[in-house]
Amino acid sequence: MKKATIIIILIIATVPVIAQNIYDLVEKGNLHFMTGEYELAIKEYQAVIDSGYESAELYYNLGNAYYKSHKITLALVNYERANLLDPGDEEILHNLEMTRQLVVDEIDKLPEFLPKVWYRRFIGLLKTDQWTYISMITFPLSLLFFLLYLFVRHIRIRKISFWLATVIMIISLSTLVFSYHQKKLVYDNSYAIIISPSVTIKSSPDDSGTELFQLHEGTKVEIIDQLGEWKEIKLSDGNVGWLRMDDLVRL
Amino acid sequence: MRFFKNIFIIILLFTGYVRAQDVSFTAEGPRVVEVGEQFMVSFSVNARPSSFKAPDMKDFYVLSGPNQSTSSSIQFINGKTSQSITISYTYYLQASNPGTFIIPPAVVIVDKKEYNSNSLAIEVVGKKDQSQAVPQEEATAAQKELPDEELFVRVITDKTSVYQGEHLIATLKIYTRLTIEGFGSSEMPDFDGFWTKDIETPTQINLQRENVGGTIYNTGIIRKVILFPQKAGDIPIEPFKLETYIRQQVNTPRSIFDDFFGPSYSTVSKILESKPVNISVKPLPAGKPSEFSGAVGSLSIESEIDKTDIVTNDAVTLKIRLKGNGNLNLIEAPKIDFPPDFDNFDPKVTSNITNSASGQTGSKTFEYLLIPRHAGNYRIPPVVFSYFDLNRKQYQTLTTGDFKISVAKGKEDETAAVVSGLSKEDLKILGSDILFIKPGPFKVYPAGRILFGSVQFYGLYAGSFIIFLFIVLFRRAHIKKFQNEELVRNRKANKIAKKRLKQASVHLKQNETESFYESVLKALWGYLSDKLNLPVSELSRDTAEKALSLHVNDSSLINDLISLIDICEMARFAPSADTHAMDKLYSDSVKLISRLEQNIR
Repeated sequence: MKKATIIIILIIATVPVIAQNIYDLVEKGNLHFMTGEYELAIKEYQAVIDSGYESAELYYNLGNAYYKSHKITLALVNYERANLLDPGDEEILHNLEMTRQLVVDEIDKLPEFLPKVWYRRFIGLLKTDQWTYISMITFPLSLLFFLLYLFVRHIRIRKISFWLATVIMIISLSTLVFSYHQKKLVYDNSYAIIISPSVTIKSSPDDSGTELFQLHEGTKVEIIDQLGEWKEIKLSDGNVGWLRMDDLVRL
Repeated sequence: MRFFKNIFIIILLFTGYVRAQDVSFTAEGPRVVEVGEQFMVSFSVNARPSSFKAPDMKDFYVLSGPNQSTSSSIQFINGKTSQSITISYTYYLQASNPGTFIIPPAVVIVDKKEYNSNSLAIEVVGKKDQSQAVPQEEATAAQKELPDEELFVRVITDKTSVYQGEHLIATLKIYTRLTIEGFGSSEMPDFDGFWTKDIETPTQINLQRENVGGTIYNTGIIRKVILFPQKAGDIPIEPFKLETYIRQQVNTPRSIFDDFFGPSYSTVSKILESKPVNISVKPLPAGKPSEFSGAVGSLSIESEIDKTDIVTNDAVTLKIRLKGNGNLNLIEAPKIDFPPDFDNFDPKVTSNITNSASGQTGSKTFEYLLIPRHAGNYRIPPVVFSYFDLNRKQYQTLTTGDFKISVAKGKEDETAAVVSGLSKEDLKILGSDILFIKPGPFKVYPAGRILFGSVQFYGLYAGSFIIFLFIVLFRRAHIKKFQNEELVRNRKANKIAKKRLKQASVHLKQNETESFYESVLKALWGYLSDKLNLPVSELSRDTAEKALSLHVNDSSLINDLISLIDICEMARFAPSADTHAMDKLYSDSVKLISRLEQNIR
């Protein structure tokens, strides 16, 4: 019983206690946005992020403020971040799509394996932490039913508890996998946005490398390798090349 | 003679006519004089007064006056006759003390009415004997070398530090102590960085006396310009150049003729150049309202609509009028979001602006023509106009009221409306924008801190699994321990029973009846206790029977056992020395235990 309370306390401790002034900053930013002072709103939101906090809504609002002050690329970066944190939010998706239309480069997407897309869409329904919570609650529950199975003599109870334990264990393990994949997608992503107005992509991590193609600000790329100041990127159409890291901003 | 008499009568009649006209009574005099200088002050009236009362001129020494003079003129134009008469009273005065003195109004009575003249302010400057004498000497001595103090031009601005868009007045002025014959070519400054508007000045340059640093100059305004700076920073006004012709006395050796004809003069030309002026223009402070489009000054707005109840395809006129002082010329039409069902046209702009020394004053009107195409109730949103108020040094936002227009279906529209009722209209997309921010309170989390992979995360899995294992293992160990004890006892039960029976056989041989029965009973009870896993103290005839029935199917075996126990119990308390019976009992007991050993589960 004592151990159970300790575990509950540990879980509660993961819900962070955040100083009130952080929320004041967010509130101020929202007020500035509503009165049309977008530059000031950006300042407030950025202060929240600089003090080490984030959320999908915060990135979304910051993206809106950048959009309204005509900084499209920075708006795009923040919408992408918001979308990563909360892939299911329709408002974020709407604004992200609107902003993407202003990007100069149009790159065809390579077709993806459909079940993979479905799977990604499914695990996008919940956030990483939500999947983790489910897994963390169901795992001990499953073990409890196993104990029931082991120690109760009554044959019917034993049968029911065995099946329950098995099903719950499967749920726990699969949500654990979803959580892991979602975490990989969101926090260990290797995506970046081009922020320089125009970049020439080279064939090697060197200024003298052959010029392969040109990208413009706002294009989303995947970082696949790096060497010193240079990053190797891959476009969604499969093209690969090198560029300096100053031209990018990581999501 | 009669003819002349008639004319005189006619003139008298006209004099009467003149009296009926507006009477103007003015005083004239110089603005600046030097101490000891003689000057003239005259009061003129355009009617024949019945009396004239001179003002008090105690500050001046009256040399002569009032000298009355009359002038009259008669004009015949296209058969119409007009006559004017001017009567003036002239005083010659001399100032004795420096300072500014006021000559109060004079009073005349014309047609039994009193009229007051304007009062005059006269500034008296102390005489600078040396400074004045020397330049004059020089002027005659070095004729061509005109000293700068005698003749110069200046660009005078009323302010040197203004906000962007705030007006300032630049006056180009000439100062002279010499006689000017005329002006030649001039080069006006470009006023780069300013939006300019000329203030009308008389084409003829009137020279006026003005006191500059204690010296009296004749000054003339050449040009007056309103400037609106268009950018922030230091903006220089380039020098202004003017070629001037001056009449000078020639100091050549004189001949007799010269003396006779008076001094001879020659005309000298000189190019005058003003000093450059720097205007520092402050940028407008931050925090511009979104509607701000560069208007600066002090303005007011009003709006007006000619009708609010109309039928479709009727025109409505919305007038927005901006009034006040500021850079009116530069103000653009305010943007109004008219209902999309209205056809609207570019506004007609009419301005009524006067340029004066106080800047641009007047009004600017924007007329919007609107034609509603569909019936309904519409609202024309308020016009929001922002400007920078120079007096309060802050932005002001003005808002007009909104208008509600109800549009009824026009008659000629009815037939069309029936048809249009069938044809559907596509949804008009007026514009696209991003969705609004999420305003509600939402949570923020420390960046990158997620549950997956945290200590709590691993702790929960490992902890709960360890607890699970612990419980399982503990339970297992506990069960094993118990089972072992029972097994041992179970296995040894037969042996112990046989040992006890052997003891009984010893007692049988020695013919110790009581001890024999006791040993048999002990063997039987002990065996049951071990086998049934029950303590001996709890065993009785009934409990043993009940416990045995769970483990043994054969009820005759149980009955045999019970009867055997009964015999033993009875023989213990009523011993009979029947050796035969005792032998039988012993062999029965051995048989029964071996049978139990086989049947018990």
